[in-house]
Amino acid sequence: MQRDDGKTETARLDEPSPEDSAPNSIDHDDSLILWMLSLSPEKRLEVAQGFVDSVRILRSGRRAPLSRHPQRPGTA
Amino acid sequence: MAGELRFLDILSALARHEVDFVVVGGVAAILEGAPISTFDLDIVFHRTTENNARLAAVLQELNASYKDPAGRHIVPDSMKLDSINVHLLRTDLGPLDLLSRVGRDLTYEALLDRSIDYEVAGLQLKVLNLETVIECKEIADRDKDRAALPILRRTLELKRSGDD
Repeated sequence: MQRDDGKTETARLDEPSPEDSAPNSIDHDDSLILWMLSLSPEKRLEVAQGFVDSVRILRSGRRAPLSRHPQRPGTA
Repeated sequence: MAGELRFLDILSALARHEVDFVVVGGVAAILEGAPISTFDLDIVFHRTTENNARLAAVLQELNASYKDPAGRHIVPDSMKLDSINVHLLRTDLGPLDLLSRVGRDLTYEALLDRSIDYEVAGLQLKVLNLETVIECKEIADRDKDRAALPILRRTLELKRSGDD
């Protein structure tokens, strides 16, 4: 590849580009969707209610009680 | 005065008064498994004289009033439910939007074929299926609808692949 300063730069095909090593946003979204799909409808509504409650609490300057939220698998 | 949003309590009040309705909008998408957030409850109600009366009783119990830009206190009643298509309300249990139709003029009766029966905390709910939620958001085409569509479509893809 010809650079602006006239020197030639060779692409290293055996090294991953930064784009290759970045987290895959589609996979990331899928894990959240799959987790939500694994819940019962009642738990899904609890998740939505928990988010509403958290926003309300944060707006009022208090910390959200995390224990109301169903726990995602693999999270502490 | 508007209260804190309590999805299940509003749904319980509607069920207790035997109101015929379909859950639509963001809560329908959530019940169908989409990880999105919403800050109101949208329903399409069956617009009949009897159902309007039952719904009006619930709205009275919840101290509902219209979100009036002029700040007037206007309360919904059976006559308004019969003549107005969109009711954007404040209640003691949070914002509640009542619609007589959604998407391409889909009424309660038309939505029944596009709804799924869910049991949530002992309540029997009719919930608009995710395909139709997506269709309605495509038609509404507001900023918030366009923002939600990618995750709704992906959720639908994953649901379908999981069903195979």
